[in-house]
Amino acid sequence: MAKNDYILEMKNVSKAFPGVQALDKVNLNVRRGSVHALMGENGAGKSTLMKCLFGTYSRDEGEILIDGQPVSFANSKQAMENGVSMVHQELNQVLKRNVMENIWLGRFPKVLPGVINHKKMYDDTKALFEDLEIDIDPKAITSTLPVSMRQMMEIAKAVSYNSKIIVFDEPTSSLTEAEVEHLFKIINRFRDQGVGIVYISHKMDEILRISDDITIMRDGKWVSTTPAKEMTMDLIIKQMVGRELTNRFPPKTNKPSEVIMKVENMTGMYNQLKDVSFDLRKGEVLGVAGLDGAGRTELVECIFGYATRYSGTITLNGKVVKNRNPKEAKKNGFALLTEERRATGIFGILSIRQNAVISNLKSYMTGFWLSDKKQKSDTDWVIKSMSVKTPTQETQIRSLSGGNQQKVIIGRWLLTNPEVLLLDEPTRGIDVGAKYEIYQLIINLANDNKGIIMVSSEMPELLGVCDRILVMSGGRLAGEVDAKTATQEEILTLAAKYV
Amino acid sequence: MKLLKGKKKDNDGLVTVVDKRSTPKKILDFVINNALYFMIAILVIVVAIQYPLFLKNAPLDLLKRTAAYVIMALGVGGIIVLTGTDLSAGRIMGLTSLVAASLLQKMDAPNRVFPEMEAWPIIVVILLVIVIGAVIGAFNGFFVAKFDLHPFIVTLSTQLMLYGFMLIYLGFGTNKGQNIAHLTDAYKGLITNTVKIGSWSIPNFVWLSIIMIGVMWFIWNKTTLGKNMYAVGSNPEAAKVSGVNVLGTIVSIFTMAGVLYSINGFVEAARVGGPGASAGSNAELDAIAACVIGGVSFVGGIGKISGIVIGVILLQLISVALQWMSVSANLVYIIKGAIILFAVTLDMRKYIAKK
Amino acid sequence: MKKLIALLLALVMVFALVACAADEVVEETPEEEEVVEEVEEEVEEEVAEAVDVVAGVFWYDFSDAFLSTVRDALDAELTAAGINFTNYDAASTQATQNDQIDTAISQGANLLIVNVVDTAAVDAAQAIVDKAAAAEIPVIFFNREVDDAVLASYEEACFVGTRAAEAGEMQGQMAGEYIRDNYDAIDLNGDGTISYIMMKGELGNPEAEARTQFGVEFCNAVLVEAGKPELAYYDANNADKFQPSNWSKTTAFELMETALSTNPMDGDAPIEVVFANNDDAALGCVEALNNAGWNTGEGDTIPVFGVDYTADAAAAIDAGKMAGSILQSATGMAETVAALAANVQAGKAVFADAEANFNVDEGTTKIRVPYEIKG
Repeated sequence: MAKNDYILEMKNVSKAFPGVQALDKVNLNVRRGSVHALMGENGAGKSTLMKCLFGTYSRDEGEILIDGQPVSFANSKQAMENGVSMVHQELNQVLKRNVMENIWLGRFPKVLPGVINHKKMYDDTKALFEDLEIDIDPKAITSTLPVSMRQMMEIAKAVSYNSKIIVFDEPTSSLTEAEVEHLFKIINRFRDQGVGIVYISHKMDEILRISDDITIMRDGKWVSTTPAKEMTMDLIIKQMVGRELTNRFPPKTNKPSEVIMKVENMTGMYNQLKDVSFDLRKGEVLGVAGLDGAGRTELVECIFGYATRYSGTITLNGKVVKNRNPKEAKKNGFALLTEERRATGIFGILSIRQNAVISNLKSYMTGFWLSDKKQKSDTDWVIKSMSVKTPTQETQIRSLSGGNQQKVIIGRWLLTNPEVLLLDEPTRGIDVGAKYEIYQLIINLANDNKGIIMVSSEMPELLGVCDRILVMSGGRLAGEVDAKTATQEEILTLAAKYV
Repeated sequence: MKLLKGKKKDNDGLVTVVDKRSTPKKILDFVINNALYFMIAILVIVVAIQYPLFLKNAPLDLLKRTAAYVIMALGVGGIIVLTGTDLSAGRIMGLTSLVAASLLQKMDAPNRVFPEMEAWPIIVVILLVIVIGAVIGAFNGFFVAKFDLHPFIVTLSTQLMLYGFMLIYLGFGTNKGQNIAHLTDAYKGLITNTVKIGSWSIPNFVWLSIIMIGVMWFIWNKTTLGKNMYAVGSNPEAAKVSGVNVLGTIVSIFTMAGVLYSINGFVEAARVGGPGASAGSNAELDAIAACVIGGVSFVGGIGKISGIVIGVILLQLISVALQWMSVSANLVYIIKGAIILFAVTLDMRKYIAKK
Repeated sequence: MKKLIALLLALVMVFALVACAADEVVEETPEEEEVVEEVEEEVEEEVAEAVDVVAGVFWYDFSDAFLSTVRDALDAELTAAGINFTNYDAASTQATQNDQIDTAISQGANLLIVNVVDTAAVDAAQAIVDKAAAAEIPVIFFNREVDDAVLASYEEACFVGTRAAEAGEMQGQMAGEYIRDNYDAIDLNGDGTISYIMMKGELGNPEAEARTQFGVEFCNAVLVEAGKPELAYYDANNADKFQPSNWSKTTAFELMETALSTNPMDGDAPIEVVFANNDDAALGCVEALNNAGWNTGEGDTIPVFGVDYTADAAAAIDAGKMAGSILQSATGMAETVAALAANVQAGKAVFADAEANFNVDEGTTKIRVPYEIKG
């Protein structure tokens, strides 16, 4: 393998949108048979760069060479036909159709023009999965598969193009440890076959493990390209954020006191949750860990009355509360920050103000109408106290960054003055810098004597922010660890208990 | 890789859920989910017991009615799979039935659209109405796909325009707004002549409908267009990313629907004879209702040809059975409306993920 | 940019379509204008106080076949009389018609000729009369019945139509005599009673109600007088004693098809006579009977009676497929309306000289155009 045998070269690529220079002379050179990590905060320009590669955006300047030949793809289909494919972060799948149709969509094998060869489609899918050691029935309806399998399906699809270059965009966000190992095995195999791999991820430990080179971007500019061997986590963060981040987590100043909420024998009606009991203290941040599908989200949804309970009682301040639906839970002093911010958190096209006050409208009633003044002042409070970066209250919330959106939603719930906050993946899809601010917010809330449950799939942040951590496995509570003393290995062992 | 046990979360589409409710509740659920079929079965049994002739005579009547309505439903069905709807279906059928009738009138008809013109060769007329249907369908599809307009509003607009064209067309020649009657024997015969099978005299248009069902089944299940239709209806973004020509798919499905309506129009003109300005009026509503009853879901991406056929049969069975039972005309409207609402509710119930 | 071009293209398509359609309309206009000019000259010579009449003609639904014939005749009459007029289609919606009337009045119409949509309640017609009274312009209702009290509320309001009951009475009379004279041939199963089916127009429509009721009553009267039993509905369990065919040929066809499967012609209880409120429905029944091998013009036939005497029905009667129909004279109605419009044109009261020339209901401003039996 020659040192400078590049399979993909992107040189001085620039792209401007009205008012924003999204890419400013960015370089990305991927060696044949290597894994090249592309890192940067959200908004650094990673996906814009990839969109320029795939022809979704036309670049303003710069050139792209594949195998030394200049190329310019008009759309992703053309890119794929020329051996460049991508595993998307957002699973863009046709859920109601089966697996093999999803894999071959847009290029079905045919017997006659327009007439599909079902047998070949099935056999090809079967062979593809066997080759990758993926155990999925090609005829299964996609929506019945767990997210991790759908992710593997997407990977198989990218592979099926016989690509020379494969871009992985956050491929492990919904995979379990074992599945990540499997993915890395597949990636290593392609590396050995001489495929050039671009690997986009926020997970630094993964990056350091799998990649050969690391390119870091910030604010649409190229910052550095370094062999992975020479990089450390701190160095990466420093280059990504552009300043020294001495501590990834704020100091823990909260002091858990008496029990505020007790959950006993909680079992879900339509989900895997089974017989979960625990208690939560005032001023405590209680973490919930577990693999995907362990029932973490279901636990907080059941507490909030969003998912139906089969059995179980919730006691708040010594009084049993029913929480039959979210409205009742809100009245009882609960708040839920949902996992899928875009789907169930924000109202994208509505203003920040409407997003901030939506859960608290009753308190703005003066006579028969809503008081605008009070809404404005409350929204101001949210923006100030959460330090939301926005030009005005009227700005559509979807134009904010993920971190700022999340702050508005936390602010929304604080306006209802809750006693128990249920935070489901509060830092998902949020930049390293913004994450710190969210952690600080959580600890401040605990200092205010709120009880906080924080669900997360990132173990370091659970260990860094929480006081205690509940570990779920297969819908049951597998154990509880002290965040100060526990290790990741300890948590993983518990998480595998009932799998 | 090992499948994770108990995994269930998903935001859309069909969901497999863990369900810990008691057995009686699950049985009740099963009964409710299939209540339509139970009701229909009970209806048939009750009518059959009360009227012994029902089982002997109603099936052929039902077969003919189903055949007359199913072709349009097949067209609308594809559009519903694309999460759309088509309000112009009835008028497309109406206009094409007028065109077909006017070109195949007897010379001695008292009022004629083209007073001096001999009837055209039937095959030319068939091709012409198919082209007309295809053009109007493509027109609908183009506006829907290109400008991302909701099919409801696009087809509402074309429906109005088509009605205007129909009225103008009816005013041509010596026709003066009258129904276009006195069709040539060859045309009527082609559609209504019967083939005797056992004691049943089955008219030709029934065979045509059966062929169309077969053709559409093939297109939906065995061709790229069919698969792309499901994909676009289910997740247009995913289809686009996968390199599917979304615009082309939408336009093709609307065009195909237009062709089906025009074939139905060609049949309808001769089946009933003498179409006028009200030809096809509101026919799309029955077709849409039939699709929905048959499980073609408005959420998109879901639907089967067999479902559409069953939907049409059920809707016609209701009309036939109610007439057999001498149910008052006022009640018929209420019962039909209630059944459609009930069917849609049951349909959506399946897609609401239980939390 | 691409989108813009596409949009323009689409617009061009639409206009092309409209233009194609419009061509046909334009062709006829020059002739009409010539006629108008000629007539206007004549009128000016004869009557000094002549008024330039701008009439709005409001139709309840363009798709109605009988009214299309009336429209055709009325168009010709008004054009010949040199009256400017515009036709409006309410598409069976009273609200639409009200809006159209408002717009026409605001555009300066000075005569309203109204085929009112909603005949079931007096309010609709009253509202139109009020509009006319407010604008001080005459209003001529026609075809669809208007209440006496409504007409009495404004002196420049009148009605031209048939008597709702009359068509049913005449249909019943005709059918009664026909059945009496051919009783044994019509009584197919020989049980001594004639069983009938009735295709009723719109539910709640007074004309349909009257035709449904009197068609059978008058037929029964003739039969009883001749010592025969009354008609029996073919479906003894049907309390309505009618099928709702909604004036529609297709609906009537399907109802008849099913009726023929419940009571097959070769069974114990065949349908022996068909009454329909209108010819479209009657012809739908004939089609269904044809499919069963009956009423093809030769061989087995049962009597089918309609109303309207449309061109198709006339042909069917000639061919022996239908027994008879009642003519509602489209030209008679058009001529009467045009005569009243001419009164306005001549500067006279709209109902001037009506008693002398037409068949007027006593004490009202209602002209009755007589029906005729055909068959």
